[in-house]
Amino acid sequence: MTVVSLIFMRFIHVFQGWSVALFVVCMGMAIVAIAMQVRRYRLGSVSIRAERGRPSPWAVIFLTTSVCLISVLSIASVIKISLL
Amino acid sequence: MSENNSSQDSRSRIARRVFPDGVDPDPRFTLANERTFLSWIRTALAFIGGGIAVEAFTSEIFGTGLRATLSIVLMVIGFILAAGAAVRWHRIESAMRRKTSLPLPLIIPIVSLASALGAGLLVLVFAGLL
Repeated sequence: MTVVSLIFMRFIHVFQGWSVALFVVCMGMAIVAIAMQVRRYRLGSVSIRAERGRPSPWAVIFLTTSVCLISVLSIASVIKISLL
Repeated sequence: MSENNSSQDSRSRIARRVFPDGVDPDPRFTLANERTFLSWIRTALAFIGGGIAVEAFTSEIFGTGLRATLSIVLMVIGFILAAGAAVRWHRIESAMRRKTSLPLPLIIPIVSLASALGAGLLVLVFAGLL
């Protein structure tokens, strides 16, 4: 997610500081995703021991939202660049 | 659904809301479902990154309009894949909890079609027909 969010640096000549801000936000989301995986790993271990599958909706919702957000912002950036 | 383990349900509130009925499946299947979801997310990120790469590095191959269109199409596919991955994860987990047949994957035809169209377009471009 962090690597892909580097794409916003491509548009730094148009959006200036906003590109850096977006990249930092994406890095923050990646850190949150990793932190959630730590919790998810513990939950997964417990579920294996108990032999009962426990899905983690928050992690799925968060990751999906993050990727959708990156794609929407990228599309908006390309549209703005193309119209210039 | 007749089978419901809400009487001793220790799941989180969001988990109870997203999966209100059924019984907890074998954890191996739940984890496999999550791995598949993560694979689709990786694919979506690859499409988004590819879209930007097309916009950034193909100015000598494509015209401005075609380049922007291709880039946007790739990123829209990435968006659809990411959203579709979550929907697919939910449908499969629900089916496993209810012990019903697994739903057909709807995003595989999308990826296949998009890849075929992309390959066809590249052939046309490099053959000088576009």
